[in-house]
Amino acid sequence: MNRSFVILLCASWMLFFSACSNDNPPADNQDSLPTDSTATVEVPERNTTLPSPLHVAAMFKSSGMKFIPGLINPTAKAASYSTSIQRAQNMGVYSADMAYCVLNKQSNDAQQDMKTIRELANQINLGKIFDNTALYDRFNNNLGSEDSLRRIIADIQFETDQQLEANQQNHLYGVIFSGAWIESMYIGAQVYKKEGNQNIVPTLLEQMNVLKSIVTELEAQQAADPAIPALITDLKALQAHFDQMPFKKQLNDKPDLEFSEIKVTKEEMDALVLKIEELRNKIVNG
Amino acid sequence: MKRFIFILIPAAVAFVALTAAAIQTSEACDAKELKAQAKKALDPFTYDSGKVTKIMYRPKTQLKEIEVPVFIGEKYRMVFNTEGLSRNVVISIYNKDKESKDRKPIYTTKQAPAAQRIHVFEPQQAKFKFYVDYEIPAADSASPECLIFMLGYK
Repeated sequence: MNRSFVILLCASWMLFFSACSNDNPPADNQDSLPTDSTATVEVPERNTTLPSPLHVAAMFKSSGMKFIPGLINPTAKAASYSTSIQRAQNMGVYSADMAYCVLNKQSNDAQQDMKTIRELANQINLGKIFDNTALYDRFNNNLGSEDSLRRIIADIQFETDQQLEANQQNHLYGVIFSGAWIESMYIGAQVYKKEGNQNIVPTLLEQMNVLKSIVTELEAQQAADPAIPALITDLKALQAHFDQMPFKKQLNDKPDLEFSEIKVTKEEMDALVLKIEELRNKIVNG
Repeated sequence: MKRFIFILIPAAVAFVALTAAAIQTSEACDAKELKAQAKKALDPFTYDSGKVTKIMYRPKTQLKEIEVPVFIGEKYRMVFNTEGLSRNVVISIYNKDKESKDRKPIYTTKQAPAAQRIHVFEPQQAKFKFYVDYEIPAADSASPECLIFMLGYK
């Protein structure tokens, strides 16, 4: 019995030291397994980053997009979103609306949007974006300063990305942004339609290049929620419409052509605007 | 009593050892702290997006690629934090994806000092997309490590 006890004790301590030792060798150490550094394996998964809703809104703002009352999604609609995908996507919609309002000094609307974003974030387990930080109070205390609000919105984006990573909810990253992107496109399209602002056309066309990245991101996460494949189908339909627009031939012939140099007919733009409206309305109407 | 000690001591040692191992594994990739370090290096650029890439070493060299959409005429800063890596992962940025034959390298950390953990790059001309490639050396690893990428704009 004593001998067994000693053996067992030794084995236990070996287990202890084995578990506690640091297995990470320094960079210059030899590998413990035979390795083959001559052949490179390309990891098939596609990874993409997506721009922040604030940055997209700022791009439209710099093309002369003015504030038109009544364009943004009413905050009262938030209560009707019942699934996590609807809530996440419309959290993105309200993020785009909030950025549009902040960049156009519409502080009352921006404040309402912020409140709604926080409510939706709570409903999809992202409440810590605001719970562990003073971001909500900072936002409300700086309504008069656009520069401060821009910094705070960028911090909210950073915290959102942190929480998605921490909660292993990475599948919502593309979903949230898809809502923000289509809302910004919708607002841009409406300003073009109502005011005839031609300067917005190159921005709308440039933004269409982001769509492929959104689809790439969503495709990588489509197994995480049964609602994501349907969303991909809708976005791909918009992409297919864009790819078949006659002006694309100009880009194919001269890839270095600036968007401001591209000639797009009113009929082409009207058809694109219609597609954007249809998809946006589908998202905000749940 | 002896039988009790015979069971209790190894069980206690095993519990402590496994707990310690679990803590070590979870601390192998403290993405939150690594991202906070990268965000400091982003200043004065505004945070746009970030990507935490989990690195698992394999017996063969791996290539992972991140697609980074950008807007024409915007000023960007890219920050990489390799503090969470135990090996030298080479970071390169290209104008086209890895399937393109005529792509051009824009930036690489191949010649960077081994001790450098924060890598900062500001591309001169942004048009549509950049492609960030991670060349992960052949090795073996027990737990995933983290490579942080962050993009800021002005």
